[in-house]
Amino acid sequence: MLREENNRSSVKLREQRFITLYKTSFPTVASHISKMGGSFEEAKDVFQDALVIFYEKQQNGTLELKTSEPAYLFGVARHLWFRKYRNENKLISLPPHAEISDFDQSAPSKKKILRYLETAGQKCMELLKAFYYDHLQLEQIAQEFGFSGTRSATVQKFKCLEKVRNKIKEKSLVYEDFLE
Amino acid sequence: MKTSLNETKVIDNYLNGKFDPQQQLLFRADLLINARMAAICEQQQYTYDLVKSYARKQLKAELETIHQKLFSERQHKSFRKKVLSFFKMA
Repeated sequence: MLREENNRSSVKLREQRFITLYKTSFPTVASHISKMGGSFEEAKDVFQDALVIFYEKQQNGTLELKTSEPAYLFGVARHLWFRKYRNENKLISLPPHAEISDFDQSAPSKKKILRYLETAGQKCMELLKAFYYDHLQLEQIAQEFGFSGTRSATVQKFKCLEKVRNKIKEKSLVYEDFLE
Repeated sequence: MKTSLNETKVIDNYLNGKFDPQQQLLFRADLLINARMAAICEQQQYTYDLVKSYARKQLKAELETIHQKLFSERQHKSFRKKVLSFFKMA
């Protein structure tokens, strides 16, 4: 059986890490956004988007830090703010967080199946997230999810991939905008 | 591993660039004549897209919880005061 997400040590470590990054980096970002006429909420949004970009790059091994982490986050947040500001001054209406979120812009059917998987397939989604998004080590995944070994964890990963993929196949016969 | 799981593993290798260039080319050529495999590949790619959307949503929820903690708990008072001071009306 897979364990609950919030009992996992990687989640707790991540929280500590984000708290540290928040404390070291958010004041500088907030000060900049304020000077540029932005609100507290807008500062929070661009900073959190910058954290998501930072995390994804760090986990998939593509983060190239030429300066410190706070300086990197400030650079990304400033860039995101600039893009947001530029887009708002055009007559193009973009959804919130358009810079990084493919979720908000996704087809209705994607949202429907995602909602379904968040409940009925949550355990599999958590396992696939650990493999493909968090890029955790195989040993760590086996330990955190309570598998007897790395081989069991790998077999379960492929079972979950197949389960979700079959669900997509099933739903693609129902929703017309699927896999378009 | 069952045959279907092996197939899933092969597609996983292809879609995540774990094949060498020659294997990659051969697999791509096979997809042109194997409609069933091509369809499964497309569905598996969509699975990875869904996992990414799911994961980002979870991560954003985690960040929101952290934000709420930092802007409500007593122990983070000085941090909170510093940030909020930037947004006080002149």
